[in-house]
Formats: sequence, structure tokens, C-alpha cells
Amino acid sequence: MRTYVVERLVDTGLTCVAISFVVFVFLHLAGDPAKVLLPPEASKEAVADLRRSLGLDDPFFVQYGRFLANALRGEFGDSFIIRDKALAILLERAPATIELALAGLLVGVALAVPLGILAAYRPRSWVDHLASIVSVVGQAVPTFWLGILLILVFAVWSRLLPVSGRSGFRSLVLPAVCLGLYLAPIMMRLVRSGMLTVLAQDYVRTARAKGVSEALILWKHAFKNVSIPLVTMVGLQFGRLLAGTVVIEIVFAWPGIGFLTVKAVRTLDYPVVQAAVVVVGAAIALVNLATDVVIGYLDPRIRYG
Amino acid sequence: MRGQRFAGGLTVMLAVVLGNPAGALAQPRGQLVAALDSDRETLDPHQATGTIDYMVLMHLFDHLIARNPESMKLVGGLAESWRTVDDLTWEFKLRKGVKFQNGEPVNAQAVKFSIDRVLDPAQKSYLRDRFKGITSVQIVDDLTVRLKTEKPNPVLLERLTNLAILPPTYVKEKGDAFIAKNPVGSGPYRFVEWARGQRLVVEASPTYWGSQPAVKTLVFRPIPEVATAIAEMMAGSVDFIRLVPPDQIPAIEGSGKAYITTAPIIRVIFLNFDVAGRAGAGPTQNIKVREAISHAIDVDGIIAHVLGGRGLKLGTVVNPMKFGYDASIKPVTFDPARSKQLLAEAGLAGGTKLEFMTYSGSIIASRQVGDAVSGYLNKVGIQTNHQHIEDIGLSSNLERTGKLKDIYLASWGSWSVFDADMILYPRFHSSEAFAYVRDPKLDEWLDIGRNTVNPGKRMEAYRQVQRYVADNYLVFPMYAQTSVMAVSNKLNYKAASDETIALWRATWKN
Amino acid sequence: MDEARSLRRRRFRAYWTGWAGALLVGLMTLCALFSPQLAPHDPFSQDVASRLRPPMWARAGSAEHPLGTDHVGRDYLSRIIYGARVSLAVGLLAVLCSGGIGISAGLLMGYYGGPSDRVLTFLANVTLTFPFMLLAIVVIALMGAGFVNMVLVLGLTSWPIYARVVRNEVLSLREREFVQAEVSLGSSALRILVGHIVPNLANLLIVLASVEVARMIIVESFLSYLGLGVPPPTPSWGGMLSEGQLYVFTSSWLAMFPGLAIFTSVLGVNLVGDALRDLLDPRMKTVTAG
Repeated sequence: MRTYVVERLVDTGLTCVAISFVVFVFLHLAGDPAKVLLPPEASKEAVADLRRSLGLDDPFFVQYGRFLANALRGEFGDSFIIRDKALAILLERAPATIELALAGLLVGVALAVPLGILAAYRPRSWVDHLASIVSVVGQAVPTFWLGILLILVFAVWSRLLPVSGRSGFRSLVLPAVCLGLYLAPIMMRLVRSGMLTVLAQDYVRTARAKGVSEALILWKHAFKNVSIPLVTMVGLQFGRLLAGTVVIEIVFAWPGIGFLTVKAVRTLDYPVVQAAVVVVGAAIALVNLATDVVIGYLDPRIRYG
Repeated sequence: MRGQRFAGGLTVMLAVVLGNPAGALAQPRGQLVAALDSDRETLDPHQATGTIDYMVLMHLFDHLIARNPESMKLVGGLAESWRTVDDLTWEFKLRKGVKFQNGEPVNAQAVKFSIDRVLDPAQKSYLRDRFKGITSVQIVDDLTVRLKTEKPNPVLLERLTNLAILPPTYVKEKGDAFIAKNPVGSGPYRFVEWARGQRLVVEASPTYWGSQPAVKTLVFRPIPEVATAIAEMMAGSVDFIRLVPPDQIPAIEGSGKAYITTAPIIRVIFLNFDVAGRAGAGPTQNIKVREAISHAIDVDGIIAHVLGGRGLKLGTVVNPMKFGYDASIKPVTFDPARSKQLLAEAGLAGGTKLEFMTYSGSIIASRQVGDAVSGYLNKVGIQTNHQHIEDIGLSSNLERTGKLKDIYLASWGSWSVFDADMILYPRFHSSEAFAYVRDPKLDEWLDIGRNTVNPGKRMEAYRQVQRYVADNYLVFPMYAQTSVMAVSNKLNYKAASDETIALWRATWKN
Repeated sequence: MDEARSLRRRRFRAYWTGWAGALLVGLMTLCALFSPQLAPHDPFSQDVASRLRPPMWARAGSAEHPLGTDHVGRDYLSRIIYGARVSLAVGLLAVLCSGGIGISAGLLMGYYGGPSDRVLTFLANVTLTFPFMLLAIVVIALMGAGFVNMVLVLGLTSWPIYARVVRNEVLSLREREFVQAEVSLGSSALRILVGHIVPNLANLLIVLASVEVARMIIVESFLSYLGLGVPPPTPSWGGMLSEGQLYVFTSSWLAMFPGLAIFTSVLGVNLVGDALRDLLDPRMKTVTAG
């Protein structure tokens, strides 16, 4: 177990370094980093000063080393727009994104798991067909269009829920539902296929023959065995969610990291953009790591496989 | 013991009621949520860069001079009266008994401190350029201040409506960084909280020297997407929207929750050409190309169809409500055939491609107007690379640093100053950041206009400037904007021609 | 018996859904290829006086503009038809780009193993860990919006999906007899790869590609929605959706039709992909949904 964890840790660390490297390279590709990191109206002297203090005349890898060291300390510079530390601004928005991601995940799981189980349990029944239709249709709907439609129906035409922004539980409903509807089809497919595999196994047939109740079979054997891939998937989805919530955040003006990043990109606020990509990338890597460790713990085969 | 306190309380209450009968009945109440298209970057009025910042901070801060919302004439703000001692000296007498929201007195020291702060190069205040003609501020006594200017300054009074007065002790004690997030002024509202990107909350200041506003709490929410703001208004969570695209008026009026109020304002919309080539060489340096562009756009059509008839076509960028407006300058005729001819004469018969930038700023329906302009240009063979910038901070920076190539859709609110100097100087004087023109003839006239007190001479200078600009097609003036605001049915409010939001004027309907 | 019947049923359903999907895809392709012939008007020509006209079935609508007009008076049906060009072009090119890179990488990783495998696997993991949407937004904003940049960004970030699948397949195929036979005969690696291994991957890749094309179409439309796609006035469904969002209260068709166009195109591609998977890849039959 320990070697496995260490291996994964090293891998994660290297991944984070790689992400920071790519961001650094892009910043250089975008033009003179000093110019890019300063607001457009900065004077020539200010640019020259920054070049000197950033050591931009040093060799490329020395510069990168410095960038990495700074990044590890959480130092990404100051936002142009909000005269505050880029990382601080980012972290201020983090709870909103996490809240949305968790809520969306919850809605997705609540929709996907029951439907997936039912579909697997009664293959080729109307439930199964419904599930397939939902799955296929659901994956084709563009999320941001769905968001606009939800706003139209639930906020504009019927005034039931707030249109946008983050202001209490009611304002979380539409964004979370939208996100959940986006995640559900994929999760449902996985649940269903996992369940089908398990239900076709011998030991299930044996249990049935022995007269064990259906409900018990479903729960004790089938679902428990599906839980590993489910946890994997939830873990991975959460990681992707951290970035994928961008879509929802834009449509619903949800003040999270994605919304902040897009605004920062639009206003050429590069310190914030830099911080966002590196931090979110690192977060995803860490979530993947956590997921892998949990799975490794649950299923010994993976550790040695 | 208790009886004494009770009697004391009763006395105070009676004093309040008897001493201020109207006030006792009109206690501020309720909350108004105002949707603005942008958030503030700072709450320090000397660091504010845009007209909209000024308009929001006006709720918290006072100025020496103010403006009557109906007549648009200058009236006293913190200054009760003023006079010119000589050509270079102004004397202001301040109102008695006015206090800042933290208890400090509003006196000559505060005025001197505020003006000196704006003039201090270390502050890098955006207002500095406008007031650097002031050479000294003298404290005559506690309530009297004298301003000395380097040259005669005819626009000084108008400009003083932009200079907020700050409490010296508070600012010196807490420092600039703190006061930028925790403002203290002497205005009708005082600061409650600022959650960046989400809301700025202010409440009626009980110690305000003027009449109490009717609305107790104001919540300014930055909502950049106007569709969102309108949806919220229809759902009842927003009570005021500053810029309403005319297309949306039926939706708002039909919702039964809000109504529209409009007023012609001094903001003007025009196409700016990079005549001096600040952003690089391009076709707009050729006068024929500029003339061609001017003939290609149907401003009447835009006003009629995109703005629903709300707008006033102009031949000059000086708004008719301002001093210095030359009515003899007629708008350019809409003549696409002539455009094509001119382009051919300029050697561009095969068409050309121009950079065209639009920004949201305070332009109503800027995207739609921009798209319409693009379309008209396309029709005469000019392709446009149309970029739309949402963020006012960014677009303003790009404008000021001369990075906007070829043409862009510009708007100028003049910070509500009703004088031609406030638009002609910043946009055409070669020393100014916003000017994409470099012409010593213009500089000469503009300097005369700025530094002469004689209105006749000033008018003549401005006439020259406007004629020159028109003859050389240095910009393409389009129209004067009509403010379109949406207000909840619960409130009484009228839009004013100085474009200020001034929500202290709003009253409850019942 | 049960097995055979379920197989027939699956084939039957695949047949119908597959053809429905093919119809939708065909429609989209026709629109993209024959836009000038199909569109009733020039999608760029604006007429400010006839802006925001509703579709023809509404009271104020007319047959001249079957789907109404947008905020500068351009015919909406024409713009929807032309919009297919961007979506299809980006979808196909991005898949070709990422597929090309991914398949090559996967072949290398699977066939040679060793250090190249480790390095490429690491690169693939890093690419997958990247917050994709954020990265796409950032890169395009830095490099400038436009068709080429968008294809590049989408192409360069999606290759691991192909690489991983190809690698696993190659690993198992490598040990098979017919490949071993070639090796012992002394055939060059290239010959083995191209002649024997790739053809066996074809089915898998076709299915994968179809899923990816669908995903690329959605991502492109989102980037256009954000203003990071093809610049105006070129019609793109995402851009039209963004322009139309302002008019949800008064002219809701402006937000409806582009979304519908994206939806039907993606649905079509997905249906075709599902049908192909059902028909081509026997192993995937038993356990997948749909």
C-alpha cells in the first residue's frame, strides 16, 4: 500500500510541475511577460523595472525555477484589476465553485443511480429504454443552452427561482440541476453497465437460487460491487467539475473560479489567469490522487495490477 | 432614576419632532437594489477613473458645487456661496455645521486637504489633469477657502462638481489602502459593506446636512449582462437598471413590475478615427477614407430602429445642452454611393479591412449599434474586424494608451460638465491621453477656450474647433444619447440630463 | 436463444437509431456543404429596418424570413444554415488533428513500450489533468480568437483519449499470433503497425471519433458563446446563442434555434456513433447501455 501511495504522490507532484511549466511557457509565448503582467497603461520605466525584478534577462530555466518557487509559496503576483494578491482573490471564489460542484454532483448521482439500477435490473423494459433515451438525449444537449432554457422556464416565465447570482439556497437550485443533468447521463451509463456485469455473475445466480431476496441481492452484491467504479467516477468527475463548472458559472453568473477566470481573461488580468490554471490543475491532480488512494485501499487488485 | 431617563428621552423625542416635523414623518425606509453594468475598482473618489464611478460615489461624498436636477444649473454643494476675488482667485464660503459621517467637521482644512490630495503627483489621481491649473489653496478662516489658479479658469466651477471632499484626519490615520475599501464622506448615504463583485451596500446617513433620502438602504449590484438584470427586475429582485437597451423596453413595461424613465443626456456617441496614427499606420489617416466612412452610416436609421427613436443626431460632438455648441454644423449626409466613390479616389476601390472596436461602457445598446455600423461599412466595401470589449476598465486603458487602431465607437459623458471644454480638450488637444489627433491649430484654439474668461471669445474659439473637426472629418459624430432607465413600480424616480443616478432623489410610491 | 434474440433486438434498434442519426448528420452536412444554395438570403446582409422579426408562424412574421431576423436584420434561417459550416469544420478538423497525434502516440506507446511509453503516458496524464475548459479559454485569449487557433487548441488537448485506447489495444494485439508471425519474418515495425495492427483498431477508432466529433461541436459552440470562437460576423451557432440571450424575453427564437441546431447535430452524431458501436464491436455489446 505504501509504495502505491508514494508512487502516486510522485506522479501527482510531477504532474503539477508539468502544468506550471506549460502555463509559464504560454505566458512567454504571449509576448514580453513584463508587458503582459502589467496593466496596459504602464510606462516604459515600469516595464523595464519589472523586467529587472523578474530577472527576465536570465536564462529560461532559471526564470522557470523562480516561477515555480513562487508558485509553491502561492505567489502569483497581484491582480491588475483588484490590487490584491491573485491567489487570495482566487481562493475567495473557491467556496462558490466547490459548492456548485458538490451540489451538481449530488443531483447527478441522485438522478443517475436509481435510474441506472432500475435499468440494469429490468433490462429491455420501458425503464431501460427510458434510461437509454435520457442518456443519449442528455449527452447531446449543450449545457449552456439548457441553462438558458431553465432560466427561461423557472425564473422568467414562472418567477419561481432567481435568475442568476449566488444568494442563498434558492439560487443554487437551477445551476445545480443544470450541472446534475449534464453529469447524470454518463454516470447512469456506468451504473447500469456495472450493475449488469455484476448481476450476470454466478454468485448472484447462486444467491437467487438459494432464495435470497431480490432487494438484498441488489444491495449487498450488485451495488456494492459497482461502488468502486462509481467512486472512481465520482472522484474523477469532481476533478473535471472544478474546471467544467465554468460553463454553468457563466450562464448563471455564479461567482466562482471559472467565472473569475473568464473575466480575468477578458480584462487581460494575467496574474489571476496564471494562478487559476495552476491552482485548479493542482487541485484536480490532488483529487485524482485522493481518489486513487481510496480505490487502492478498497480494491487490492488495483494496487498491484 | 428611570423616570429621569424617560423624561429625558421624551424631551429628546419632542425636540426631534418639533424641531424637524417634516423629517420625523419622512424617515428613510426600505431597500432599493440597483443593477449597474460594472463593479467599482476602488471606493476612493480621487482614484475613480470613470463617470460611472463618480456617479456611484456621489451618494457617499459631497462636492463644493452641485447641480440642480431640473434646471441643470450649478448650485451650492458644500460651498454655500462663492465669488471671484480677481481673475485668478476664487473664494468659497462653506456651509455651517456640516459633518463627515465619522464626526469630523467639513471645514476649510478638509477642502484644502482634498484639493491638495488630488493635485499630489504621488496620488496619481485621474482628476489631477483637470485641476492642475490650481496653484494654491488658502485657508482664510474655518469656513472660507481661496483657490488661486495659474491662468483664468472659466470651467473651474463646473469641474468642482467632480472633486469630492474627504475627511483629513480619517484619511491620514487609516491610509489610502484602507479608505479605498471603507469610504467616509459627507454625502446622503454612508458606507455599510462592499463584497467585491457582488454588492456595494450603503444606508442613509442620519447626520446628512441636506434632506434625508426616502430610501434607507441602497444595494449596488454589478450585473454586466443586461438580460440578467432585466430578468431579475421581472422577478422582483432588482429595482433599478441604469442602461436599458430600447429593444427591451416592451419586456419591462409589459412585466407590470417596472416602468421606463428617459432623459436626453450630455453623453455623445461618435466614431473615433486614429488620425494621428497612434496605434500604427492605417487607412483612416487619409481624409477621403474618413469622409467615406462618415457618408456610409445611416445614423437616422440606427436611431429609429436600433434605439427606438431615442437619440438626437449630431453634426458635432459638443452636446446642444452645453456651452460652446455650434448649431450651424450640420450632420454629414447618408450617401453610400458617395462613400464608394471616395474610397475609389483613395485607391481602395477593391475594399479594405479595418479594425473596429466597440465597448459596453455607458453606451446603450453598444453591441447592436456596433453591429449596425459594421453592416453599413460592409455595404460600401469596408470589412471590419469587430472586437467587442466588455470590461470598461480594459477598454478605457486601451483607449488612453493609444492602442485602438483605425476606428472605434466612442462615448463621452464629460463627467456631467456642461461645457464644451470638457469634451473638446480631452479629445482633440495633442497633450491629452484620449486624443487621437495631433494638430497645433486645434491646440491653439482649445487653449484659448480653456484659459479665457470672456464667453464671446471662448465661443468663437470653439466654433473654430468644431468647424475644423467637421471639415477634416476628424471624428464622425453620431448622436447624443438618451438615457433609458428602468425603475420598479414601487418607486418614484425620474432620469436627469446630467446622467447622474442620484438615487437619493427616489421616493416610495406609498 | 435469449442471446440471439437480444442480439437481434439490439441490431434492430441500432438500425433505426443509426439511420435517424445519419439523417440528422446528413442534414447538417448538406447545410454546411451547400449553404449558398440552401440559404434563402445572404447571412451577412443586414437591414436595420427589419430587425427582430419573428418566425413565419408568428403573427408579425412572414415567409420571407422563415425563422425571423436577428438584431441587425439578418435572416436567421440563413445564418443557422451557414453556422453548420463552422461546427462541422471544427468538429472534423479537431478530431483529425487530435486523432492523428493520439493514434501515433498510442501506437508508439503500445508497440515499443519502455521509456517512450512511460514518457508519453505521463504526458497524457498531465494533459488529461489540465482543467481543459480553463486552458482552452486562456490559450485562445492569449493567441487570439479564430478558426485555426480553436482547432489547434482542441486538437492538442484531446489526443490522450485516442492514445490511451490505442495503446491498450496494441498491447493486447502485439502478443497475437499473426503479429508474432510477422515479427519473426523480419517485417519492419511500420509495416506491422500499418498493415496489421491499425486495421484491427479501425472499428474502435470509428466509434471513438464519432463521440469526439460530438464533443468538439459542443466545445466549439461554447467557446463561440464566450466570444472566443470565430469572430463576427461569421455565423456560428454558439455566437448566435450568445447574441440571442439578451432577447429571451421578447424574441426567444433567437436563443432557441441555435441551441436546437447544436442539439440535433450532436444527437445525430451520437446516434450514429452508438449504432456503429453496436454493429461493429462485438465485445462492447453485452455491457454497455443503449
